[in-house]
Amino acid sequence: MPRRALLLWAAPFLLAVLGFEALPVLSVLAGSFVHGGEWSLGNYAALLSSRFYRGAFATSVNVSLLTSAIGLGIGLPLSLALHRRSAPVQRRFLTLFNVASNFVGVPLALAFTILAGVNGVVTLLLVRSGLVQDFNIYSLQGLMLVYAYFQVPFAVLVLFPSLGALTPDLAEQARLMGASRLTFWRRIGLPVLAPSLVGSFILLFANAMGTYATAYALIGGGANLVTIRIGELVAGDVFTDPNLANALAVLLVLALLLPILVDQLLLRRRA
Amino acid sequence: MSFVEIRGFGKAYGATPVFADVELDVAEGEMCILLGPSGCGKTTLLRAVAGLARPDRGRLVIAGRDVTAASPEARGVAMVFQHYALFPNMTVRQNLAFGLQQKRLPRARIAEKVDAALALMELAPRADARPAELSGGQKQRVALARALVLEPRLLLLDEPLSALDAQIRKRLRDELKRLQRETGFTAILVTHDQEEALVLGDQVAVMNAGRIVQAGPAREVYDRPATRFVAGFIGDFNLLEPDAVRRVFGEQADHAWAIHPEAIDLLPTAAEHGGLTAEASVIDVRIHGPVLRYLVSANGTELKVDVLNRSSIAARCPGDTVRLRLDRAQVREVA
Repeated sequence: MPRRALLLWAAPFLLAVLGFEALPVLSVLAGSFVHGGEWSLGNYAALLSSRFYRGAFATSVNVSLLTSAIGLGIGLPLSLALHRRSAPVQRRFLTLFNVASNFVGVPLALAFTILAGVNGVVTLLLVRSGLVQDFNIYSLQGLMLVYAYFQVPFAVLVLFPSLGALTPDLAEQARLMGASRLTFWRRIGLPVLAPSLVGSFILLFANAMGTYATAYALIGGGANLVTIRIGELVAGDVFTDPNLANALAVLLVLALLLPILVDQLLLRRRA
Repeated sequence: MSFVEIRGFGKAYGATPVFADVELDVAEGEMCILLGPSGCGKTTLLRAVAGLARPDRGRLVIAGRDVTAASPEARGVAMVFQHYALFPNMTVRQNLAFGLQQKRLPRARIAEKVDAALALMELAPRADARPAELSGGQKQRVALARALVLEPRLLLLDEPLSALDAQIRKRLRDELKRLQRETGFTAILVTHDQEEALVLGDQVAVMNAGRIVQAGPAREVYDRPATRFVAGFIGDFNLLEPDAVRRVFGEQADHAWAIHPEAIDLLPTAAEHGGLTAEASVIDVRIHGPVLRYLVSANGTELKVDVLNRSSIAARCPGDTVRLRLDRAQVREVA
């Protein structure tokens, strides 16, 4: 097929990419350099010199790093356990995890409020049984608990396919050669899984960094997260500054791109 | 006393037996082949010898020591898996060194042994490559070297050549035989390929439905199949039921006759002859390299006949009438 005809066939796809991916990013990028009606780096200067916005980044990164670690820490053993089950069991659980990882936003926040809010069923049970004094879901710790709800199944979903590289005969071979379980995981299991663990961690990190609705529905503007600050600057009650929001969004994208680039570099070096 | 003794081995998954009443003796320095169709229990039996599967019954002795209850690493066995199980994150050299490191050998001694194994398997130029960079044949040689470097009392090989293409498979088969002759290791090899079994095996144990149906020297199993299953599985026998024997050769038989395709001579119809004879017509002829395989029909019974492919012999064509001659001593009666 001639090149021109091929381009024609691809035109709907290219148009969609241009309209829904490239143009919005370019518009955000361009807007981020407009400050006070002129081209300048003023938005970036304002953001980087503001303790408030630096704090938003620090909180977002902390929450994302921690919940990614929790997601991976629970998701890896879960994936390994699931990997040993029969195909029908795997399918059933993967469907369940798929649903759970997509159960985010207002419904998730509402569910957690009912269960673990100040007057939530679980909170009351725990307080009355004397196991906890009090528990405040509307805090950063509470937010992390809610994030963990979708981070853990998301970790299983992204890790599970890569476990195929760890065939049972590798563990059996190591055992026959006299290696303990610990030695197997230290010398073979974890190094074999390392690239997918790093890749999964980055995906979890990006997933948490980009979360907006869940946090907003749970804590509202009180949570100093980057996504909530962007939301406020675009559609806030007090004041709006869309171009400052654009600059904040560009910095958020950069914060996500950096680990992805490092991962790619590491992968290339290993290959 | 044999070097490896398997006595009354049995294993079942629920009500389904995997193998039962397995008795096998392997002499020191012998290569014993477990031959059988897919699903006959041979791989599980091998895994039970390795300690990776637990038999429900029976006893296993290796080099005079009862290892029935011993853990896999305490048995002194090494195994080559069907898909090699090379550690993908390690180089060839690191793969070979891994087992020796677990034995806590001094570093210099490990390097010395690994170098010797690399040289033996002609792998030195690929010592620093990772498994993903190796060809199928090279991976197989690394797996073998990694097992042999541990100097195991018993080497277990699970279909080690099955993942290779025909050419490399033949070459490695010969290499494996040479290696066993030179180093004298004792081995049990699992395969479903009868040619591989006959070429490699000092002893061949044919398995069917979880039982060893015949075990003995390769020549004996090939020449004298004990059952109709062995005859059908090994050597591509012609199997004639008693009424077919009567129709083709005019003989009375109590049991089925198993006849090797190469035991039948093809003669011109007017030739002088002795032994059993029959008129037949050629249905088809195929070239199997050094052998011509004829498919002939005698009184409605189809027979395979193998003849050496020599240019001095004029090939017969489909439709030709020929005379079959068979020495009665070549016939094996099977129940």
